[in-house]
Amino acid sequence: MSKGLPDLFPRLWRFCMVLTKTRDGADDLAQAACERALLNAEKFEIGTDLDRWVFTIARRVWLNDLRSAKVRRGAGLVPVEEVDISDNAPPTEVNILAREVLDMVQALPEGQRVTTFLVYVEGYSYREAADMLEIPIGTVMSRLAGARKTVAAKAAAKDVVR
Amino acid sequence: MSDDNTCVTDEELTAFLDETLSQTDHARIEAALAEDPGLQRRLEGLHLPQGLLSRAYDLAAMDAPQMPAALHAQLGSAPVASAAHVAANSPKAPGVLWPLALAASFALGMVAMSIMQPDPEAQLASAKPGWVDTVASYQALYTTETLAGAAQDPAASRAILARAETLLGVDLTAALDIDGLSFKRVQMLAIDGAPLIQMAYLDDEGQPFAFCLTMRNAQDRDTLTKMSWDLATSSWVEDGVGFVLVGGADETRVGEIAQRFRGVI
Repeated sequence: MSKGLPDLFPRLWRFCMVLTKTRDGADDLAQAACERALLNAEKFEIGTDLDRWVFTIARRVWLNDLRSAKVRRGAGLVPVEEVDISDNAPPTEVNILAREVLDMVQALPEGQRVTTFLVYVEGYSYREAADMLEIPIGTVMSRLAGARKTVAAKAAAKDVVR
Repeated sequence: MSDDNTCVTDEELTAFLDETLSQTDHARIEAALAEDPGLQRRLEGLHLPQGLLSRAYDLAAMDAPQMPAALHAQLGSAPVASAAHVAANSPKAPGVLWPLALAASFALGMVAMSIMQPDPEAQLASAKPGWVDTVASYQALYTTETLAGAAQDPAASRAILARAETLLGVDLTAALDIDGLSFKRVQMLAIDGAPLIQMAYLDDEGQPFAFCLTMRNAQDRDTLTKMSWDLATSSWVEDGVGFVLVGGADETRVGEIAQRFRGVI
């Protein structure tokens, strides 16, 4: 699946977008994660997936370095309506609904948001997501259940889905 | 009855929706759902619009950038030693080719792992959760009008079906003519980065149905019929291909029609 860092980069950036919620933040985090990956290339375990390894690095960089700096600058909380994702898709009904869903997921607490993204967008198994997030598999399931509940309630309230 | 089911947790219901439970637990939850409307409501309260979610995070729609040139340059100047030790047989690549060497090494590593460490649990875990629900959530947006005027040029249909056969190894010609359904069109969609073939139909009462198939890295399983997004779905996995028929609200009927598909494909 993985053919190296350049091929992986757009997906890494998207993961960083889920973490940081802003394009600028995603640019910075994706770059920092790649640089960290290159510095630690000899630690990459042969036979494991590059994408999971780099995603884990990105999350650690976010937790240890960038997030705290962002919060210190007073930019830790991004209002839902300011979630900075460009919308290239034509404004069909389905795309408008998709945008609604995107806002709902991006508004979830960070743990739920990232877990939802890894499992339901990236398609990782519960076990893989647990390993990448360094949490028990039970926590993955709790986060997914919580995220489903919140999004389902919002979707019903907004009549996004019936 | 319902009191017993209060011990079914939201986490279990989530795993049920994601099709990650063991067969025993799946059957237990299914039986509980059949007799407890309260539990059914809780399940509905966990529905995630997965089709829309996939679309929302589409890389092109998000305008996800490619790797910046500055990083490409750093990749080129990265130490070759680390790439060399992971692929000892590779010729030492000049700096600018390091990314290719690294990529090849990772690929080799993964191939080696798959040969050396067959892991049934990993194989099972790699079954992507919720693909049936993803298809159902997409189908939930369809109405009679969506397909009423959607007659597709037969040559276009044949071309897509031929492509589908190349990609998935399944001849779908017989699916053009299923008793009780009027074929409208076939489309090539995608799920989890893999092609998904969607054949759309209307039944005699104008209800939209979709027959979809995609690659599934999962063990074969027999037909499973369930409700998703208020639609009846009947799905199975065979030879690495997942099949699902979705439409209407009658599980028995969709199960019967699904058997017609299984009988001819």
